[in-house]
Amino acid sequence: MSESRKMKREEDGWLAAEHALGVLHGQRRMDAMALEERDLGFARDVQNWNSRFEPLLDDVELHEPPNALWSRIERELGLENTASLTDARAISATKGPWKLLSALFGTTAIGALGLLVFVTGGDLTGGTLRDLERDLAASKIEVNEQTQAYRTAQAALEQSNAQVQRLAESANTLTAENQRLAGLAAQGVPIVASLNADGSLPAFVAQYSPTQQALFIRTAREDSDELVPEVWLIPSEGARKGEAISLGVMDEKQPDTLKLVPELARLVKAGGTLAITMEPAGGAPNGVATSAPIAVGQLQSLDED
Amino acid sequence: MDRDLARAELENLIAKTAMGSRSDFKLLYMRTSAKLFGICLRVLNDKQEAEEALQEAYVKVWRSAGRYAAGNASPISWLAAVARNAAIDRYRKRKPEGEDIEEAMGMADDAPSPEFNAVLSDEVRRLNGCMGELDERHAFAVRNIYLSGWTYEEAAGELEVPVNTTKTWVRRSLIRLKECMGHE
Repeated sequence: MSESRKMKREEDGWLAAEHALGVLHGQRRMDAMALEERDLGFARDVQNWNSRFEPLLDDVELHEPPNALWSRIERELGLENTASLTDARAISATKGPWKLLSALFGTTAIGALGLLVFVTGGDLTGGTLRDLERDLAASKIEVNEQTQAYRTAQAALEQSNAQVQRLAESANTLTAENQRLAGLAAQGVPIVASLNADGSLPAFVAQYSPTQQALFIRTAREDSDELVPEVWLIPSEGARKGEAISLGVMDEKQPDTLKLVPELARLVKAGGTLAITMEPAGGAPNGVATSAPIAVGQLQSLDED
Repeated sequence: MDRDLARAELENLIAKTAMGSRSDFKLLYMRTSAKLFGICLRVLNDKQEAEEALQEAYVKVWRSAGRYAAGNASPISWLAAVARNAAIDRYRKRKPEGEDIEEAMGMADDAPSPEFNAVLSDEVRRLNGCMGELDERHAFAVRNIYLSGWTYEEAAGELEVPVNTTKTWVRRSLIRLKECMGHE
C-alpha cells in the first residue's frame, strides 16, 4: 500500500472514531456522514465504535416523550390513513437479487425508482458470507418496502402527499444528475450512473467506450481488503435478456478500466443494466453473485436526443 | 429480561419495521423512545428541541430500517446513533444556551426500559473497566463528549486546557479503549 494511501486510511480511522464519539462539527462532520453513506468499510468502523461506546448510554436517564409526539411522527410519515404496507412481502417470493432486479427494471413505471431504491439497498458491511447473506436479506426488505411504498403512494395519492413528494424529489434529483453527467460525458458514449439514497453524488459512474470496448469506472468508495468489485450486465434485449452476465472483476493494477472481450462488448447496449457487487478475490464463485449489488444503473445512450 | 432475548426482540421489531409494519414500528417506538428521548435531552438540554430531534430520529428509523443489517450491529447502538446524530445536528446549529438542565430533566420517568437496561448491563462493566484505566480527566472528556455532544473546543473550555491537548487526550483514550475492548 502506498504511503499516501496508508495515511488516508489512518486519517479515515480517526474520522470514524471521532464521528461515532460525536465530537466533529462543520465540514469534517459532513465529510464523515457522506463517507458513512458511501463507504462500506468506513460505515463498519463507525458501527464498531458505536458498539464500543454503547455502554456509556447506561448513564442516560429515561424520559417519556409527550404522547403527541407519536402522532406527529405518524403524520410526518403519512402513516395515518394509508393502507398497511405489510403485504409488501408478496414480492419477496421472487428469489435472488437478479430476479428482483429484473422485476424492478421490467416495470417501466417504477424504473426510475428502481434505480434509486436498489442503490439505497447496497449497504453491505462486507465480511463473511453469512454477513453478506444478512445484508442481502436487509437489502431485499428495503426494496420491498420502497416498492410497496411507491405503489401505495400511487393508490392513495391524496392521503400520502408526503411520500409522493419524496418520490417526486427523487425523480428530480435523478433527472438533474443525469443532465450533469450528460455534460461530462463525451458525445455518443453510453454512460451509467447510480445515485445514493439521498440524491447526493453518485457512488459509481461508469462510461462505456465502444471504440475501446472498455468500461471506465470511477468510484468514491474505498477498497476493502477482502472483497473486489465485480461488474455485471443484464441485457434488456436479445437472447440473453434478463440474464446477469459477469463482465469481470476490477483489476487492482488498472482499477478504473475494465476491458471487455468482443462477445461481451456486443451485449453492452442502451437499455441494459449495469450492476456492481462486492465479491471474494477472483470474482463470484460459479459466476453467481454472492451479494446484493452495491450500485445499479441503466445504460443510457446520450446521442439519442 | 435476558440480554440476548431483548436484543433479538429489538432486531425483530426493526426487521418488521423495514417491511412496512406500522404496528411493529409503534411497538419499537414504545420500547425505545424513553431512552432515545433521554439521549436527545442530554445533548440538547431543551425539551422542545429534543422532541424535534426525536421525531426526526424515528422518521429516519422508519425510512432506513432496511439498511440496518441485522446481526452485525447491535440494535441499540444503531438506534442510539440515529438519535444522537439528530440531536448533535441540532446542537451544532446553535450556541449551547438551552434552558437549565434540571428543568428539562424535571420530568424524568421511573418506568424501566427492560430492553435497554438488560442489553447494557454486561458490556457496561467491560467499558467501565476500560474507562477506569484511563486518566480521570481523559475519561471525563470522552464520556462528556459522547453524552453531551461536545466538540473539542467545548471540551477544552470545560477542562481548561488547550484544544490540541484535549484532542491528544481523547485520541490517546480512543486508542487505549480500542485495545482494551478488543475489536468488537
